[in-house]
Amino acid sequence: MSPARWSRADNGDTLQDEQLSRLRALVMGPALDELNALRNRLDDPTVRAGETSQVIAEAIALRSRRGGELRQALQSSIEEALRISVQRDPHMLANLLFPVIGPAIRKAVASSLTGMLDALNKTLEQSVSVRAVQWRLESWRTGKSFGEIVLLRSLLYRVEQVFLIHKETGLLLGHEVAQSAVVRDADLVSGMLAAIQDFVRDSFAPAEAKDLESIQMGEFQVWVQHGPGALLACVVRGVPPHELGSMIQDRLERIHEQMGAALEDFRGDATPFDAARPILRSCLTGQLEHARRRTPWVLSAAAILLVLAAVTLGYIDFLGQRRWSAYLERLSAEPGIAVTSAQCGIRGCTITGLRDPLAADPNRFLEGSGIAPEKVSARWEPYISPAPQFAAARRLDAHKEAVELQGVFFKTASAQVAPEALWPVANELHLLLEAASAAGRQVNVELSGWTDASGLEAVNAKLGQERADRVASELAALGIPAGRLVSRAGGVSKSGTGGPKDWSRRRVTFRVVPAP
Amino acid sequence: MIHKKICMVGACGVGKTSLVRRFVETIFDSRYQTTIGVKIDKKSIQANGQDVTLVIWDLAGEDDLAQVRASHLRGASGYLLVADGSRKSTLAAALDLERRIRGVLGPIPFILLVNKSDLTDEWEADEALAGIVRLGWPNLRTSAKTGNGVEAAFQQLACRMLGNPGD
Ligand SMILES: Nc1nc2c(ncn2[C@@H]2O[C@H](COP(=O)(O)OP(=O)(O)OP(=O)(O)O)[C@@H](O)[C@H]2O)c(=O)[nH]1
Ligand SMILES: [Mg+2]
Repeated sequence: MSPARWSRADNGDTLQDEQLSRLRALVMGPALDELNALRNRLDDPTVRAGETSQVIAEAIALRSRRGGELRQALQSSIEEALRISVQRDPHMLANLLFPVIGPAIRKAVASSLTGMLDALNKTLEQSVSVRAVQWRLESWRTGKSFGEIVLLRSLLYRVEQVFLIHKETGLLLGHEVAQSAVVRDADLVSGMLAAIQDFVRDSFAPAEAKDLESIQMGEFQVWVQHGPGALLACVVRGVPPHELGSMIQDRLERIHEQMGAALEDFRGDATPFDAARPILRSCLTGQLEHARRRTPWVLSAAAILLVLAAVTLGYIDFLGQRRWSAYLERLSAEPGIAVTSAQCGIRGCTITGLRDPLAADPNRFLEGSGIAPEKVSARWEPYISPAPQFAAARRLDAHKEAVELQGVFFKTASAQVAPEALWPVANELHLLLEAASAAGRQVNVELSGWTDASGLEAVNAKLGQERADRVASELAALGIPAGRLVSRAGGVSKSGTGGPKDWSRRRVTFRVVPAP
Repeated sequence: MIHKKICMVGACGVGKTSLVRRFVETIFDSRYQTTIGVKIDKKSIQANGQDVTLVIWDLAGEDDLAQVRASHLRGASGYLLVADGSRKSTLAAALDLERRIRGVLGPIPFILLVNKSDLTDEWEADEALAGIVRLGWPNLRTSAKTGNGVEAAFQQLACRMLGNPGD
């Protein structure tokens, strides 16, 4: 039997039907009503919806406690719903996200800015100017990084006024002024700022483009940040740092966070926005100039003294810097010395570079330079200089070594030597003297005559001298200038491992020494 | 204190700026300096036993070149629709303006001011005005020169904005 037959009484009802239903009523009594009510609940969608609505929250909670299937089942529908919603009105989502998204972005930007500051530090480290020297001094005094000081010094500013402006009406919601700032009627300024914003948007930008962010007016700048419900405008004297923009943005976000509802419900009564006054006041930063303008004379005198002291210090520093650069110049002129980095401050000087072992001692130039040697810490890496005078010196060194490796050997108790045995030595000596004159130096050759441990001491001493004399005269005969040769007795040689009659101890050795 | 933004709209040279000056500074200047963009003024009054500050946006008058900017109208709680009683055409312009403003702001309180009422010799608005009155628009004759009807105009608009059309 179809449900329609139960609920509807057709015009074509037969008597039989009527009787049947009466019978049913008799038989089933009140149960029939209940049955009908139940059927009604199942059939009528509005009733069903009403009932489901009473349990749906609990049902969802129960179901999600049992596992993640519900979430998975709902995911695509919710995504689709979000997509449609954003398509229809992107502003809604943007407005919701406004207080959240700003801080996240700023954090990312801040970290990249820190990186930039580091790079700036490095670049500045290399630059030199009068201002840079002053800043360095300040950086040393305050313990701040040089880059920070440069930023600080070049950015002198003060936020003199803040306006919180209702976006839709352009009406003023809040206004804070730094002490001693000149104030015109804030209501009118607020209105004009709003009007200028409109003007810019209408005139230059399509609807979705960026809003106006700063206006330059003489010595003032007006920095404006836009939120969905309000603008925050700061009147700034001087050159504000870039971070001011993010600071304003942050304050504006906080205001939206705290007063989003009040912004939406605004009907001309600004009293709820008194609660935002602390936030607004916190925008009045950078009071450097302000402090300077109102300094009492005692402080001014102190300041003048400080400046004098700084100037004196600066002068001393200047003299120091002059001496230092003279020293550096002297060093760079010296062959075999290459300065790679040098710094000189109040705390001392450091210098690093390359130095050929043959080059002059850098400390020698400090004498008479006016720089205290103990103030200078130097680090020199050895290197081979290609300068010609060093090449000659190095050649001389090599020949010196070759000569000193030579030896002339003797029979026991003899000072006899065959002239041919001296040819190699004579050849080496010849080359040595040539190299010496090429390097512009005078050298002598010291010949030492040695004996073995056998025999009488007195005889041995005489024998050593004889051996040296003999070799010297033979060498002179081979063309070595006798004046360059100095012979002496060496005594009993300690070289060799053999016994007292070790042959290697009976010899003449050579040493090259600078000529006196 | 409650602040309300109101706008002065109407054709060029009908006396919008003069009405504001009369209202705010109680002076009149017969020299004509056309308004460019917008000029903002304010004055506090009492309406419905309540202090209210009217922030008045005096918009540039419409001509063939420039149309009233919708963005300047945004957020206004009411406006004064100004026509020049000595120039019939400015009334037609007012009719057209009202229709467009209603499109932007919806139905918000306004009052039609037929200005320069001191120029009785050149008056030519009566006929057109009769037609407009039939539309049920609230209207006033004003003169920025004599000050006639000026206070009343702002006063009545304020009362309408604060939710009491009487007064
Ligand atoms: N006689 C007379 N002259 C008026 C009156 N109101 C304004 N004027 C003159 O009309 C001229 C235009 O006045 P404005 O107030 O500048 O007109 P406006 O509507 O602001 O003009 P725009 O800014 O160009 O749209 C001026 O020369 C005024 O002196 C008035 O009530 N009576
Ligand atoms: Mg004007």
